[in-house]
Amino acid sequence: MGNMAALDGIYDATATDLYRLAFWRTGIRSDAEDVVQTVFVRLAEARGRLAAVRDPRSYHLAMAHRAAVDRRRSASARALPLPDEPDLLQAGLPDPGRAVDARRASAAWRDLPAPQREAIVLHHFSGLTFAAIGRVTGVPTFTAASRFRNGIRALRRLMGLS
Amino acid sequence: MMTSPTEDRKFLDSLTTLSPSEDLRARTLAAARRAATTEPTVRPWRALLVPFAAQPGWTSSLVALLMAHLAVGRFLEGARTARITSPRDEEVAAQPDLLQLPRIEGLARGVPGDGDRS
Repeated sequence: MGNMAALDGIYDATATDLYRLAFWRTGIRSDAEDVVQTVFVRLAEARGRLAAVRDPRSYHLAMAHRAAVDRRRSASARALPLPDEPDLLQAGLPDPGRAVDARRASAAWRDLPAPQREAIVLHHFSGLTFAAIGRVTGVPTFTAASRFRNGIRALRRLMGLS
Repeated sequence: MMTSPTEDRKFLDSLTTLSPSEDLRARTLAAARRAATTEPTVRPWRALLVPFAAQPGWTSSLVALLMAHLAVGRFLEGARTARITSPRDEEVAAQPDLLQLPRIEGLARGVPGDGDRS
């Protein structure tokens, strides 16, 4: 059961990042939860091979990225639209103005391409460098940086801030 | 209008995003426990490769193995081709004129052959 105790620790260390990545990538809360579960089931199944992983954080995030992409691909095949998830972004402080911003950002977020949403959450909320984002999502560093900047620009434009 | 990275950061710093629920933690770890207690299903070809791949320097060993496989394949193919194109002794014996055929054809065309020198 030592391995299971390790999984508990991995969950506590990584679940927030994995869930946010999956949520921003898929746009659906239930899909994000399924992605997190998928990652941990795969980790449990591959427990014998995990010792060779050099960068566990990137490894887990890359697993979540692939699971989220697969999830949306199958949803696209079923032609399922993104449901309303109005509370994706929330105001960090109890400020009515920022709460309005958060609501508008949450509404505008739906119009961003999934790779841009992913770059924003990984860089800003998870604190990954663009090089690390490139490793997680399988794109060059420059592409990861472009996705982030274009995503932020589009988000501000959609909200009428620029 | 272009925005600076500082403005972008300030904009995002005013927002926060969702975190997973406690319920998800319990469900996820329960699913992981179930997966951990079941034996992984390994495909036959992977079962053969995994112990091999665990050895240090396995890539060069794999290349050597492939080269050896190709060499054996070439040898067997060569042997098969040789058997097909080379007549057996008994086949030659059954056709005694086989070795004399060029000379006979040469005579028929009026071309001097080995026999003309004698």
